[in-house]
Amino acid sequence: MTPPPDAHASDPDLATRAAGGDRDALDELLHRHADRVHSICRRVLRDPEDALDATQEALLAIVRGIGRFDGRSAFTTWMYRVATNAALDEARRKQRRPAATEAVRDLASSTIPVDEAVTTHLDVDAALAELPVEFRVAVALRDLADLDYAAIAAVLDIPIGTVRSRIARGRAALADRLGNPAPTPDRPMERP
Amino acid sequence: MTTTDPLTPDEVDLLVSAELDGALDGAAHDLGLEPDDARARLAATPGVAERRAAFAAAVAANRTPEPLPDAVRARLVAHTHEPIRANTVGTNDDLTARRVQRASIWNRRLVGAGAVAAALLLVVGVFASLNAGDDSDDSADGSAAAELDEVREYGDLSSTNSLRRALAFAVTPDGDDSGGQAPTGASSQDTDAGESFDPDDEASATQLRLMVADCTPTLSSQLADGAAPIARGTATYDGEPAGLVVFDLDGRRFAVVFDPSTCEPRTTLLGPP
Repeated sequence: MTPPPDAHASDPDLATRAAGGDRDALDELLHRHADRVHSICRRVLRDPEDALDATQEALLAIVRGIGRFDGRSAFTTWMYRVATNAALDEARRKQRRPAATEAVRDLASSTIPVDEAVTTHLDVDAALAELPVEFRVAVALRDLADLDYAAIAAVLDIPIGTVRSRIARGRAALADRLGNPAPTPDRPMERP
Repeated sequence: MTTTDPLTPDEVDLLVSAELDGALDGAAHDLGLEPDDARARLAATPGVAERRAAFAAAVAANRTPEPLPDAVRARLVAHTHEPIRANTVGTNDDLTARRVQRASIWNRRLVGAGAVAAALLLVVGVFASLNAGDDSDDSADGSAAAELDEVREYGDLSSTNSLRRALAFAVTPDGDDSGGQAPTGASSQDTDAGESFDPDDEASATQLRLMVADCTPTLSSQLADGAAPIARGTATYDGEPAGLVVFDLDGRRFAVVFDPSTCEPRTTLLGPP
């Protein structure tokens, strides 16, 4: 008999049970990680509505793929790989779709309450939005998902050196946007 | 040999970023430096402390996940349930998921403009319906009335089982004389349609059926690649008036329960092959 889901159960335990067909365990996993899946999608995609769609797609992909999760990697690493792929797929689809008019975009955005608490998020999103998507993904996987460089390299299928470079460039852009610009050529950091 | 030449800004950024993650050695090697050389040159480069602080602030700002509202999170998770219950997990169901996804995107964006258009169509539709009653010989009005007759009442579809029954009922051949009866046996006039919808109010029932008819082309184009629906009806979902449209997707029945005022899908069910 399958034990009841436990909010305090570990991810590996829940993932194992979910992979065995325990839908309550799967539900607990989805609820537990939906925010982070969404945050990854939000960092990768500029449009909050696109991020929600990518999140939905990621959760569906997790549901479809949980039976194949073999536990050789951490559940969160696998989950973030799924979320990243969903977000990148959505970004590619977005490029193929016509852009919504600003009026409609504003209308859609107006349904999302904005207050002081999310100002920082908006700043981060705005700063990251100026970067190529590959830098946004790398920064999000490191700082938001807390994956190490090797895991990020595995998720993105790129060398670790490239991971380091992308994260550095992403953080530099973020620092500049948040009010800490890099030294200009005539400032001390420049090589003489 | 260790030098103390200052680093370039890009070199500083790479090393400081890696240093924050405890991975300075790897970054040093990326630059062709020994780790001790990298540390010495960082120390010799003006402005590194400020850059380190700026990067730390950027990491902190980026680290906190943006929490979803509880209702949104619950809805996202709930939408993963239907494929599970329809036994579609593990099958190649991407097409359906993306159709739903596409509809979600566009329906949200069409809500504003669509609401106005729907209101206008509603007025026109009610007017046409009233005219149909006054002049039964008018062929155009007769067609509209006949189309509305195809909109059955399915009752409460809030549970998966009720939706599954509705899906089976919807594909029952017309020749069985079920004649628009709901799975429960109730007629379109006397089925309880929820708290916010008065089933005894024929005008409300007509409005809802018109809205269902009006949403059908949108759902068809967004969810079913323009396929014609094989059934449609009115219903309730979570206590609210809802519409139901059933499509044939490559031999599988696909039911969409939607909000008739926005045409936005609320839940879906993909039947067995």
